[in-house]
Amino acid sequence: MISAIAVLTGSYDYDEVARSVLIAIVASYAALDLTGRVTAVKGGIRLAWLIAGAIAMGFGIWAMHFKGMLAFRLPVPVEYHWPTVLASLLVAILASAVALYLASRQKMGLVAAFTGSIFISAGIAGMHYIGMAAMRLPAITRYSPLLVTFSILLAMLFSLVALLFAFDLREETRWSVPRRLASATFMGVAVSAMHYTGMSAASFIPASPPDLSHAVSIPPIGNSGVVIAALIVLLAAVTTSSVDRRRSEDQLRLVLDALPALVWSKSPDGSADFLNQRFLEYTGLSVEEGLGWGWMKEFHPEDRAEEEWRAAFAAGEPFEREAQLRRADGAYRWFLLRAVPLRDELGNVVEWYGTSIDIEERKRTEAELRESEARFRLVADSAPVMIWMSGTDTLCTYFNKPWLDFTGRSLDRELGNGWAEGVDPEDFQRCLHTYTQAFDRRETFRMEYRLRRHDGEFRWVHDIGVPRFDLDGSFAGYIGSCIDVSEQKRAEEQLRQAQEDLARVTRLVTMGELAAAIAHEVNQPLTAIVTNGQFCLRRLDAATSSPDELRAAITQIVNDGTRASSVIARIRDLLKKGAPNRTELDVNQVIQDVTILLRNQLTRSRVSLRTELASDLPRVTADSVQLQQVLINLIMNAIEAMGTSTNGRREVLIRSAKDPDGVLVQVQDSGPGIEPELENRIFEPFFTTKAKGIGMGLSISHSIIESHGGRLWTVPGSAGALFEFTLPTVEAGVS
Amino acid sequence: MNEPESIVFVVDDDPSVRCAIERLIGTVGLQVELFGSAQEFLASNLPNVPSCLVLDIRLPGISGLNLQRQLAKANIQIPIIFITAHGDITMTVRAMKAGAVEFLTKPFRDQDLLDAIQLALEGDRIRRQREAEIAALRERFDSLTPREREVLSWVVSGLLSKQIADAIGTSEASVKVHRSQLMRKMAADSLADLVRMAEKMGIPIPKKP
Repeated sequence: MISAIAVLTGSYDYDEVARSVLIAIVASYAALDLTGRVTAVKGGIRLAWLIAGAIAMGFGIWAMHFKGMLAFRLPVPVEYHWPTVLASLLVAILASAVALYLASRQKMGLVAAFTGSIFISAGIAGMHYIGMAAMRLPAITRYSPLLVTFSILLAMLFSLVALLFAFDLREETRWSVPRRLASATFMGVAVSAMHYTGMSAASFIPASPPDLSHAVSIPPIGNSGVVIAALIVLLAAVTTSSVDRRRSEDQLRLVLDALPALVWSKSPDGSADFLNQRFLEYTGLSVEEGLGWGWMKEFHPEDRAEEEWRAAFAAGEPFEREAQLRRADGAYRWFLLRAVPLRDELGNVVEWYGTSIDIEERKRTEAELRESEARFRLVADSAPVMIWMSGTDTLCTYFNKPWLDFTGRSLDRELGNGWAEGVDPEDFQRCLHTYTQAFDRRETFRMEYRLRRHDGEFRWVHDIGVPRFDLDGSFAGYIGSCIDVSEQKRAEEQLRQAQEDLARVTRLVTMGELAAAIAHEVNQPLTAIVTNGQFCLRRLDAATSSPDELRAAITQIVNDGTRASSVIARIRDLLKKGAPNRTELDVNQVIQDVTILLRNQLTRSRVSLRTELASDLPRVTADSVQLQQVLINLIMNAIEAMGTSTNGRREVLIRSAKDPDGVLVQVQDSGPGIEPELENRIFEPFFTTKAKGIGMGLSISHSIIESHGGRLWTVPGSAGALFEFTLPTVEAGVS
Repeated sequence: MNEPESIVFVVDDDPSVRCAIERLIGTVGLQVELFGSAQEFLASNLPNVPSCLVLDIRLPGISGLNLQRQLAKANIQIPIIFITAHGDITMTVRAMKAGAVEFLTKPFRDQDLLDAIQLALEGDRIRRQREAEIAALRERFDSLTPREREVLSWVVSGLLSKQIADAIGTSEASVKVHRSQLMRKMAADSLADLVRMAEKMGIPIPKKP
């Protein structure tokens, strides 16, 4: 039908066509490149790139279209209505903006892709047919609906493919340029195909000359100017993009090189395609040596298991591993490697990105810590004490082997509060109290309790807990050590018993020594009594008695009887055993009693006893028998100290005096005195200088005086041995 | 007992005991002298009369046994009666061996002490008598000539005059002269008397040749 009318036949200038296709390809490349840029940047710069990119790309597409139009030659002069031309350019830029925006988004679903492609194709078709409408020629333009539809479908298809391409190729990687070039060529050809399909849909029927207002003819120079302008704009866009990309790549590289880590990227199979400067510096490899699988031989032979590495890469999951990496100087250091895969939308690994961090120090610290821990355990386990540790929550966190051996329980059962099960219930509350109280105050504590041994026997243990502090001084819990003191306790008990026994024995021994003297003391008055009695009897028998004579004799009998009785009373006191019986007494009286008891002993040893007793002594509260014992002990020691020497005086002097503490009693002999080096030891139990002594006398005397609240000591540097003791007065004792 | 003057010494450090003993001894009419210690006793002048010593063993300073030893050393022969509050066997044996008359344990029976005192005084009296006798004999013996002493020793050994003459190388007649001389000087009534005198003086009797 159309052909029936005289149709203006047009011809194509194939040079121009080729140029238009070239522009299409360049514009496509620019589109892909700009998509990458817009994707790579963020914020305001992204918007700037989007606008600039849309202008460049729109201009490119429009230039290709316009060029294609110019390539079509009609036998009539063709002018163009320039406002319409500008409108078509605007539409192209808008479509480009939509395309860039969609392709640079993080995700692109199928719906978005289809919707986008409809918009873009509508834009392109709009641009094309608006551009066609700008033609002013003496003809009527007719369109073949079939071809128009076909051209629009082509545009849609082209838009979809272009969007997918752009989205796929937007990542700026090593291989993006050649791939983009290929895609751009395909796209350029497709765009051209769509354009020329659209052109062929139009046929021109000669008509009256058109309204040439606002119409301009395009001279050949203008024609070329469009091409040049388009190419310049596109080139400028791509160049700017490239410079910008390189700068950002340089920045990225600087960042990567500045990282305190080895950074690398590897192709999906694991062969390296990028190594940062630090990696190369560390290993001393050149880029060529390190790329591919060259990195593998830098690992320590132990960690080189290539199959494992390949398997890890093949698995495609992010992974971490520790390995030793050789330094340039040949030393191996431990590294932690992390690799993360980058995937495409189909889930295939596109690239591996990874870092390797030097963990040598950490490893060494860990090893040192392990060693230190092992050393601690060795020490703790081989120590002959039971050791435990607790944390800041009072719960126990550690028990050494001796502890576990002792209780026969597993560590798990003892941890926390488990150990408490082994403590004798009778002792537990007390222990817990001691522990928690010390814990709150962060104080060292000591306690004794019964702990069940593996054989079920409760043993006494002595436990010393010491607070632990971290290096920074913060409280970290407690560490404690325990020893089994059952034997010691038993020994102490036995010793105490033995000392008690000894004290009694000593008293008995002293008594034994005194027995002879006592017998004498009692016998003397008895002898006098008997003899006097016999005298009386004789006188009475002989009937020659005078009453005076008998009275004198009988008076003496009575006196001697009283004397004997008092001696016996003293003996009874001395032999009395049991709890001390304290009464208020006069120390002078005790001294006198003792001197009477010892008179014979002194006589026999040819020792004279002198007393200087203060008359104003306050009374003291004391056990007279115990005091006698102390005095007897001191006097007997004095007698023995003078030995058998006949040089000079042999004298014991007993003094009593008032003292700020109460009453002071001194016992001094004229013997050689106490050797200075023995002065500190003479009060120790079992210390003796006598061949037959058992060394308890002074020790017992000391404890007796102390139990009375007094003190017993020696005065160094005195003539002879000088012992002094004090006793508190009644008032002092009460207060 | 025609009451020759005699004296009992008592040494005891206990005044009551001393006093009681003095009273007791007084009942038998003996003179008593009291001392508190051995030193006091040693310092006193001992009269030359039959006497004895009642001595306590346990004394201040010099003990009873020590005193006994010192007296023996000084050749003061005084019978000793020990009294002690508690004498053990060793002590008793020692005292008795050293010549003690008795060892009495306090308190003692009055009669035991008085008997011992009597015994001691009697012994002392006899000793003194014998010593006086011997002293007289010694005096006579000292008046003999050496020849007479020689003859005497042979006579008491039982030799006949002829045998003596042979032994000393002289005539029987001169032996007989010496013999009568010495018998007169010694105031011996018979040969038996002379032999007893020689024995008392402890003159060594030579063996028969």
